Amino acid sequence: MKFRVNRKEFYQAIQNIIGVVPVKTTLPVLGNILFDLQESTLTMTGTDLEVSISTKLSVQGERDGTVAIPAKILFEIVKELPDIPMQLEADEDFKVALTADKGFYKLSGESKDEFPQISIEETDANFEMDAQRFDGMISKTLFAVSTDELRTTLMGVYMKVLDGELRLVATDGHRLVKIIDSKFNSSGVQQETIVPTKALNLLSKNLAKEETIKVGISDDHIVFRLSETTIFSKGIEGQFPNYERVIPIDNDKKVIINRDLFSSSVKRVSIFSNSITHQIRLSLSSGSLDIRSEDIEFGGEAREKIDADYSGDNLDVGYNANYLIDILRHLNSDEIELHLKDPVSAGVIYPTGQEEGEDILMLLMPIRLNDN
Amino acid sequence: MTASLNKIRILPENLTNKIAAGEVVDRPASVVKELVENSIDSGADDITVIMREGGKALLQVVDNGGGMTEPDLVLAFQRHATSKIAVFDDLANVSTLGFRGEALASIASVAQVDTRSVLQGESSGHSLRIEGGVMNSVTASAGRPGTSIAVKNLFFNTPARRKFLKSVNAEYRQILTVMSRFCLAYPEIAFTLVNEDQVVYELTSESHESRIGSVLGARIRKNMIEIENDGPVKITGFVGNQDVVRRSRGDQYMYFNRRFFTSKNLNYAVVAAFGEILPRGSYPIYIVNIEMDTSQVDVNVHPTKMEIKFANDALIFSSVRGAVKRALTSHHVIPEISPWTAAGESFHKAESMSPSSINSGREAAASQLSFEPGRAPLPGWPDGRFLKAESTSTGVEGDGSASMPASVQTAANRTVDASFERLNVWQVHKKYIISQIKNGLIVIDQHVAHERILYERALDSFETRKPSSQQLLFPQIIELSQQDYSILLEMIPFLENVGFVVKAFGKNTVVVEGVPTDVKIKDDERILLQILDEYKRGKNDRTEIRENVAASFACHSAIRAGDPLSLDEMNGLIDQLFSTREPYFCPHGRPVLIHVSLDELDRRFKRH
Ligand SMILES: Nc1ncnc2c1ncn2[C@@H]1O[C@H](COP(=O)(O)OP(=O)(O)O)[C@@H](O)[C@H]1O
Ligand SMILES: [Mg+2]
Repeated sequence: MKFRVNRKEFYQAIQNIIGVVPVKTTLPVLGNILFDLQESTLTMTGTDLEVSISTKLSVQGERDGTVAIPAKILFEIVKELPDIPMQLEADEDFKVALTADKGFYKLSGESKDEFPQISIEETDANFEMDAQRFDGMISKTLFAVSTDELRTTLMGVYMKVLDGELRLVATDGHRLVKIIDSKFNSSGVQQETIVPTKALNLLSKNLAKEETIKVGISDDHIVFRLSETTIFSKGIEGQFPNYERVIPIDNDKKVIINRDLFSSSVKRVSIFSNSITHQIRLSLSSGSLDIRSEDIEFGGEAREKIDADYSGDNLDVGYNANYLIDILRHLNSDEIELHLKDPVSAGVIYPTGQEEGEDILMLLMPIRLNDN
Repeated sequence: MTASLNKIRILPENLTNKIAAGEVVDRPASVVKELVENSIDSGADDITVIMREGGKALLQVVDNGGGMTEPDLVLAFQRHATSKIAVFDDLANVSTLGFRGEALASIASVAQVDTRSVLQGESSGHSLRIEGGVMNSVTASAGRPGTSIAVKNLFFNTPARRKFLKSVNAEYRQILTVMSRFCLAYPEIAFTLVNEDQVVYELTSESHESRIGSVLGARIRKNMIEIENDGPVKITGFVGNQDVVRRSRGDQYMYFNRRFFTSKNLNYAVVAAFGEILPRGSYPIYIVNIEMDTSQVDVNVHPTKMEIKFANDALIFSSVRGAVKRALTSHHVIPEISPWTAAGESFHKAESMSPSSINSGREAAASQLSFEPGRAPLPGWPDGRFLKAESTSTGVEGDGSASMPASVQTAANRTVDASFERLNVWQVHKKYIISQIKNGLIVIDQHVAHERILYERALDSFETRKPSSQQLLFPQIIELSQQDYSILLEMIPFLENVGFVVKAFGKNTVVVEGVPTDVKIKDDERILLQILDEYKRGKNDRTEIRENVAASFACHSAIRAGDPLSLDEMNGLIDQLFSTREPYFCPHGRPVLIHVSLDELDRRFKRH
């Protein structure tokens, strides 16, 4: 295999896929990127066996061939080089030589036979999505995904495709985000799956210049096809919890608050909260919201009062401030609506005035406070 | 009534002497065992056990078995009256559960016993009341076929023994244990258990697998693998895979011809079959039934028949191990060629050689404090604590551990508080925290340190705090065995005090609705089971409930070896550790930290 390429595009391409290469792995060959050159098209593929990504790059091809090249070291050297043309050549023993200007770098690759074969199955269920719109939805959901390896079904975003509706749900058991795109055309597809966080992170990284994404979805995997890049991911096995059942419908204590004011108050007050629990207390009374925290061990205490559009009975409820800040950060309306019932049930948060065709709901479970 | 229906004979004197003597009943649970065995022997397929006050006030077993004739009813309560063996040769061929003919007699001598028995096909039979061994006359009585024996006020005439009975709850649990053993061995028999007029469970005749689910819960049933062995030693049963190993013994059922017994040797046969895949300190779940010609065994070793002597121990051991191993292998629980073997071995070897074994346990650690006996406490060191540490070393002074360098000690005799230079903290191997202190360095075990912090916090919260609790979006429903359920019930008030919201849901099920906010809890379902297992282990050591819950909670909520810590987290941990009352030992007595003095380092580097 032998080709010439410009450093800038080459680096960009490696950067787009390096995220899939596992840092620690029991299968060392996964630390490589598979290079496959056919005439002037170079296809680079990385995988961790769950998620795979491959991207095409046009180069000046001289000799076709396929070889697996250590990803990390390649990424690091290309990163440090200036934007100049470079040449990459691999011999029969999979020795890889990189030449750029006056530099010469040699590394040991591996045979393509060592690299796992990734076959992307074709699915019947195919549809297209608006890339930017989907990117926006992903970025509003990913934060709520669980990192608890013992609860695998929560470690991804539940995605459900219905006629005229695309739905994303993420939860870690303490909070939950549900976003519905109701202007969505699924081309008749009806499917659901749980997409691992890693696949969506990789996708999001590659979406900047894209307009539409072609998606293929089945019971156990999902494929995202972009103009040069294809991302393939296994769906997470198992049943996503019945989230509809936990979304309350009788939360009758409704308050409207300015999002920025609320968020910055919570941030300041939380500095004085216990550093382990991050517990704060919201006290609602007619026309205002009191935000308080105290750290008994260190004697700190903070309190702020902000205006709130509220006329119901007084109510005190505790939250983990970090969770609340996360939620407020991922909404972009000027004001938010908070619907509560009592100090121990889920609070529901909506943006006031949903965007056209978008329906966002966030749930937050309270901390039961010492006094109730 | 024909004479041939009279079955009971008094055993000849020489034969009774062949049978090891011994008291059969020592507590309500053993009464249950004897009565239910009799019911099973009578051919019943529906048995109801009714109790009050943990069996102390009432224990009644009702069956639909063969029943007894009037003369048999009277004979049944005489010592060594049995219908089950008549001559010595029979003793080698016992296939029924009872055969000594002494249970009913013993029970009747220490309680008020009301019996009614109706023969199969009849609509009336006979009743008999015996009080403290004194028999009233037999009266006619109508009823359904079968036998009902009600034992009231056990030990009413032997106050000394009555005093030795444990709490109602403890006796109740023993009965649950005994009943589980029957339920799991006889899935074809319907068992009903009624406690204080409430049905605890009502098991219909079912398959063995479905019975396991009814008794031990669905999670365990799903993870059970069937075992089998044919040949002279026939083995049937189930063994739990890796996913359901426990941190404490329990749910281990070994039967011989469906008679429950215990055997260290055969337990080890199961453990050996698991090999290295069984994490250290964990116990497999199993239900193993061994069937073979009874002439090969002596069931008679122990009066309460919990132990059995086999003529061919080795054969049975290898049959059990083989059956379990085959099942595990065919279900891919054990990889064919275990890649862990080599690593596992070297791990054990390395461990046995490492000097850390010197530090295992409070005694060992404390013994290090006595290298310089009589030394005055260092400045800043409260005298009391020094003395306390020294006093635990009684009997250890001057033993082999003196080879431990005098200045590599737990820091218990040093002033370490407040002398940390806060920036100089490192985490090594994601397991230990090393820090420079004035006169040397200190090594802290991060897990044990956090355990101590959480332990004291839990104890405090029992006294004062009403804790806050993160509510869960998806409450966790946990199904338990009957026994675990009743143990958990006694823990609940304490668990709530550390921040769990746990509610009994009935039917051996609990719901976790909230978890403590001040610990990072990963799996809400598993943590409760882990705490429960730890608690059960502590129970064997007779630890007080509150201390046991606190220690179990601390052990499973603390950060672990392998958890990376930030600088802030390490400093926070050290701060909190030194505001505990006893920063040097964990609740189980392991040392929290080790101090290496500058002197010692200098000496080792030959600077002196
Ligand atoms: N539930 C019962 N149904 C029928 N017969 C019974 C029942 N319980 C006891 N018997 C009779 O009473 C006898 C004595 O019982 P027991 O004292 O337990 O001695 P063993 O069971 O060892 O023979 C038994 O052999 C049996 O014939
Ligand atoms: Mg008997």
